Amino acid sequence: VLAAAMVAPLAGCSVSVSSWSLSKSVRSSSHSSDSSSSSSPGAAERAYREDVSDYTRAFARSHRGDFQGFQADIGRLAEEHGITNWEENPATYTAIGEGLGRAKVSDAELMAYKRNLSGGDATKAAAIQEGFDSAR
Amino acid sequence: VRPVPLLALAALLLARAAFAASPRFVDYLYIEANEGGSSGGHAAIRFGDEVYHFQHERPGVLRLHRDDWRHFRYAYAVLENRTMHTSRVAVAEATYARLREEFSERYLSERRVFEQRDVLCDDRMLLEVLLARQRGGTGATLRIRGGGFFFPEDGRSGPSAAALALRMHVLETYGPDAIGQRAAEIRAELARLAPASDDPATIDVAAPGFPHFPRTFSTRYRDLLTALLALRALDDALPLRRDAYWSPTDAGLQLEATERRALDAYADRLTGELTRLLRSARPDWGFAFLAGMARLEALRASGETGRLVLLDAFPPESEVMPRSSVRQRREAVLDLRAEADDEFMRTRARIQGGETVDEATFAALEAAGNRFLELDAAITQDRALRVPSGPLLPSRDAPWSDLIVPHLPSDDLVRSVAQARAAEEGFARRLQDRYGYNLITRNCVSEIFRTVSAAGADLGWHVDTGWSLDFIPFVSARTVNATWNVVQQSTIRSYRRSRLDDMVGGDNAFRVRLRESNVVTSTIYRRNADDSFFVLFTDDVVPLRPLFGTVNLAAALGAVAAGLPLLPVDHGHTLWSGVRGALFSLPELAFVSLRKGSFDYVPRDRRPRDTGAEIFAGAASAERRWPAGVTTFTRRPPARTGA
Repeated sequence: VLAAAMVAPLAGCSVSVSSWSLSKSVRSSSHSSDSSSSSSPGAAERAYREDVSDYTRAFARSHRGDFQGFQADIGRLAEEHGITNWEENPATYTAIGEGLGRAKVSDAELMAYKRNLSGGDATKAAAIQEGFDSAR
Repeated sequence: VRPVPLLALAALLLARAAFAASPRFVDYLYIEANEGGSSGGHAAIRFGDEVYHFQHERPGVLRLHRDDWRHFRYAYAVLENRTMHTSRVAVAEATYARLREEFSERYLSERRVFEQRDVLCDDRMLLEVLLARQRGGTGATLRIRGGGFFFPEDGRSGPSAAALALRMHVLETYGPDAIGQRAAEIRAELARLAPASDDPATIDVAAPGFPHFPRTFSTRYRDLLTALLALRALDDALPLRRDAYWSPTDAGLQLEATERRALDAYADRLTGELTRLLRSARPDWGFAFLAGMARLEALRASGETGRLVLLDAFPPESEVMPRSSVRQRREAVLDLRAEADDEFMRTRARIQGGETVDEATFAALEAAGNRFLELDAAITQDRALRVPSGPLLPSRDAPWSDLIVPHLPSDDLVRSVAQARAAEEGFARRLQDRYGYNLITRNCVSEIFRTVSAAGADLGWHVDTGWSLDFIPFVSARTVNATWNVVQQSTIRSYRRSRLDDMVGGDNAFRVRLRESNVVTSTIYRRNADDSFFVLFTDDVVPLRPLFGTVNLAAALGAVAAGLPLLPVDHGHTLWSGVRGALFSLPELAFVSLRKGSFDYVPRDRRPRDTGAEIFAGAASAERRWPAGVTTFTRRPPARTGA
């Protein structure tokens, strides 16, 4: 124990990252990018939806009103999944609705999200509502 | 055995009753130590395919990471060569959901906080550049993400036909002045832009709830400038820069008819999507437009040539493996290329099979193609190899000197620079306070239990690392086994031990063990430059460990002696390797083995079969056949007492 204690303080909980570098040529270490693997397209979409839903839930429970900040954060999150134009991805809106449902936002707040994010597109608003209903 | 109070048992029984209907499983993972940064062992928690774990990073902070289970296992059990112990905890559906949400939210929240650190640094630098510009300087430029596909213009050809068609579609949709008007609006907005007057001290990294930071000056400036570049690229119908895409002549990249049709159809849809993006309310639409327009041009080129043309999707900040290293590890790089090629072919097969292409599908194709083409180029063109540190997303940047300096008095700009510097420094201090690593009070174990506790999840017993030795990974695993509702324990052997077990199954067990006991004759281990100097493996020989440790110590001291004269030649590599070797031999004298050796690459055919999905599909079934390298222990229904 004494001997182990001598070297333990050197560091803990980290990993020798340099030894991973060669292997990272094929697969990145992050869950998000890995989820874009071609071998599991269903898993990739599920991972994206979960991230957007989790983020929306956390955001909606803590903040209100900053839709530009919300959109910018969704943009960063989507990029982690290889998606740049998240507004054209229907899964984004369903996941946002799901996150709002899990955050138990009021009907008025739900309306505000639908209005600000759908840009007048009824399909997008319906997808938010669908996700919201599925999580209630 | 740690005594378990009766109260804990009662809580455990109550928890069992709660999930009797539909149990879910959470795995607590204890990963044995290895040398270097992992000498204390490691801990993680797994939910299905996701593994959450806290890592100690520069500059002395502890950050939550999320990894795919397959990759986590490959990284730790195979490359890091560390045995993993899994304690499977049965929980109610609601508890499972609460725990996963808590870890996910903490992960997203921390990521946002650390991003803000970089944003504040960028804020200060941008303001310094603008101040220099205002004072007459002309040298400084900004690097604009996504701009590198079109700028600086290489003037190699006329306008792009694909971009001209997109431009026409935009003008038909929004009117002939649409692009010019939008650009004028953005220029005016840039000129009016002013740094926020927020007090930097109010930006609190430790505030409860999900972090919310107002969009900084640099974020708003960059978004607007990027949008301006996008409009300019569109208005001038710029072609892709020659170095921005791959266009190999390999016959394998010839498109099949179905593939060609699918990509053409996606290009048509993308034209509409980009047109709508121009009127989007999202503040960061410029980057998405630049990447989309570049993809559209690559898609149209694919359609015209009948060969797959892909953007170079490697981010500008990719690590680079030098050419000399590629040559040294040619065999491994060839194997990686074959693996990347397989994935690329699988992705193409989905499209050839008739799957509708959307951005996610195309991004997967682009990423798989880029991995293969980069490895192929490293081998066939004898060049350095780029290694991405994150997802492969087309994001080439371009230097931009045509900056618009906002109409601000010089004094205001000077004050803003000072304020931005104060914000950056203050934030870094608070970040260190909030996320600083501490070997005992804030490490990979303590934060797992804190997060479990924050979720309000009842797992049978509240583990408090503050008043016990539970902050040590292997002690924490024992506590979890004793107090949580663990229904199964299993062990995933380290790569070397697993291979050794397979080899020993033959007739010449003694000869195999003798051969594999040292780094010289071992057929499993190959000397890794990351490892300290040692000769004998001690992790599988307990009685002989002190003896082997003595040999290792002597060898390491020999390396130290040899390293001194080599100092000018190898820049201290041998010396440092010997010093570390001696240090990690000391515990072996007292029967403690930390060092196991590690691997920088393990070929596909030698990797243990992926057990991730199988473990979870099998749940707690005792009849299950486990893959090689995995041993299990299934716990009977609780018969524990408070003794």
